[in-house]
Amino acid sequence: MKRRTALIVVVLALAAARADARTWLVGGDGADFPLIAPAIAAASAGDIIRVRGGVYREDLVLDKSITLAGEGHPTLFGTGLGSVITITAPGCEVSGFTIEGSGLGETNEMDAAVQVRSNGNRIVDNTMRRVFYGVVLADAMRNEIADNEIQGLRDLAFGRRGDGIYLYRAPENFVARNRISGERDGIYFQYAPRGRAVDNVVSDSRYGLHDMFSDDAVIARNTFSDSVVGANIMNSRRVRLEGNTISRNRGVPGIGLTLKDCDESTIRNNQISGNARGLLLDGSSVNRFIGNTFRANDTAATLFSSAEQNVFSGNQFVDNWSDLVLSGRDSGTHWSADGRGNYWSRYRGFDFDGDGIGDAPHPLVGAFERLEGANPVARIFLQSPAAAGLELAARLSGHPADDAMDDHPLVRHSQPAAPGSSRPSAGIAGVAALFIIGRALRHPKRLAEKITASLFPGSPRNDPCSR
Amino acid sequence: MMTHLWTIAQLELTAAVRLRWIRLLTVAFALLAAAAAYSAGAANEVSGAEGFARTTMALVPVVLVLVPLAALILGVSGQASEPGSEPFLFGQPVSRATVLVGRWLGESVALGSAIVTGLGIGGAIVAFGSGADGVPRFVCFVLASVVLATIFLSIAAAIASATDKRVVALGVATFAWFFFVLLYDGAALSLAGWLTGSLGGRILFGSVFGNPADLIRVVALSVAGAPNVLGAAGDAWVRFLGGATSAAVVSMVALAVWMIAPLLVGVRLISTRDL
Repeated sequence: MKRRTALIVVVLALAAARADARTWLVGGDGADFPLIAPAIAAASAGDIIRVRGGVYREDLVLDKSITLAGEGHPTLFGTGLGSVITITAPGCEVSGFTIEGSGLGETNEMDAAVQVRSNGNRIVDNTMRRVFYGVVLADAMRNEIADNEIQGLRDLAFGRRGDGIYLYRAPENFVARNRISGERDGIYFQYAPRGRAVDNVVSDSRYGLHDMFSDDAVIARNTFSDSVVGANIMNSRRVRLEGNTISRNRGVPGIGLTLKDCDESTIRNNQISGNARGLLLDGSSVNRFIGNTFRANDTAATLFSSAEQNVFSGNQFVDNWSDLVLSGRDSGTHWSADGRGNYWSRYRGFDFDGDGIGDAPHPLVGAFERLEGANPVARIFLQSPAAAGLELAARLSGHPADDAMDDHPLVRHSQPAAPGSSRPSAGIAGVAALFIIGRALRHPKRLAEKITASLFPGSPRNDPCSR
Repeated sequence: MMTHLWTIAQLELTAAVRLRWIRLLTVAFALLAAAAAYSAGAANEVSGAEGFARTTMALVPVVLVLVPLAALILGVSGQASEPGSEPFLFGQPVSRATVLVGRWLGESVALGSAIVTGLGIGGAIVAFGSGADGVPRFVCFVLASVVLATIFLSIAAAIASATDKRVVALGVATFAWFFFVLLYDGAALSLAGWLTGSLGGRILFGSVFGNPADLIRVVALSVAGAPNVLGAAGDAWVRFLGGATSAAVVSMVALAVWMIAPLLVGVRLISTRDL
């Protein structure tokens, strides 16, 4: 609603300026100017500057409401000091550029490809290469940052990189369909409430998404993969994370989704897979986890005792090496809501009455995970046969009453696990190989001779047994 | 001397390959590896590297149970062979050490081939299903399994040399399997709850060296499992051993000691034994 209001304001502003709006042409034959800066100086609010293909070595300040449209992907190569484009007037649009050569933050500035310090601007369809920050929005509201490709200084340590899109004291901005890699944080909301990040793809960064002191953020349908932490949400309330794919965030500190001191948030229908740890809940309370899939993580969820009264319902925990590690006591997590728990691929119970809910409750913390919670070093015994024995013994002896339990475990996936892309070639190869082995093993003596002959070429050829 | 060693190795290899259960073991490894590959989803839905890592992770406990058992039985039954054949063989002009080491060599080749073939089929299935990305790491895992076999064959040689009767040797071997595969880790895990802090951590890390099966498990998981699957504990383990290179060297040396020391004990025992 607010965004629409902003749009109307911008449209009205443009319409007001429409009377004497004109288009300026930069670069190439018959252009008004060979460089962009003089065109900006000549233009007035509401004008459009069309920039043709080519390389432009200049830094720009947009101090009036104009549209800067690249045609044929002109490259804007900054001076290497400060930001390449700084927008101070509201209602500007920058599109179609390849932007390089931002400062590297030596002067402790937020050197960026595009720095926005006003409201209602659109930064769309640009490529930003080897930049410190991609887009910085500082004290800026209701801007749209969409369809940009941002590549950071991936050869530098995280601490020396900037962020892909950094929103500082910038509420109600819209960040969509950007592809970001090699930055420190892909998208960083700091004191930026009511922001929306939708359909972005972030990889190879420190955090895919970083959210601090930014309440009511909406994070939907993004992909955060191959970073240290997929999404790190801290000190924020009422955040909505929906339909995101958070995968392969590995390494020793690797985590898919971290909630630290975050309350009353909704985490729904996300795919969290292949991470060292899928979810880390620290000091975060009254959050709802609904319909998420935790698949093939080393540990699906780690909960600190400071995380209270969170609700998990309708989630799927599939093929994780460990489902749950509790550090300290479980502090009132609800593992089911309204008689509906979660699907656990480890569940060993039955559903005789066929209502889709397992007849016996599912103990969530295995014997090994319990040990790991008490002493992290015990993980060095991961996959030991004795750990499986311990699990069996614990199951036979019954679980302590105060254990974390899913009282209403679901016995069916709520959606098909994976598209049926099984490749018959693998099965055929397996059967064929088994057949060949079977044939070879029918003649052990000949096989032994062959093996010895190839291994010990100098040895006597004949079978020593026959001597 | 070397010719004698090869001859005895060949003799032992032929005998071992003729054992029906060794052949069945090969098939069992292949089936288990195939099952692990499919259950890990490696046959279709994940990338090659991830598929191999998950297959390895699923196979580690299986290998840790089966390989030592097979090695101990094969080793003991080979080294302490049928009554009657012993005086005949030791009556030949070969040293007792040559007989023992030669037999160990032959058994290692036999069991090693069974493991490589069986697990290799599993690897082939993963490679066909999800790409050859990650093959080198899987090869490391197969090699680690073969090393595990040679270590327990060596332990079997020591057991066989220390006992007079085949039945006793088999009994001791069974206990050794139970001890190394279940009892040792069970004890360590039971104590892990109390062994917190830096001293406790060091005791737990040190305990890994006391059991070759543990050492192989940690090496296999670190090299061929999902990246950093041991997490902070794996990190601490590497630091405990003084860095990545040092950890690799120390682990290799420890494995070599576990392979050679029981063999030397066996040679010493059998050389002085009254047959």
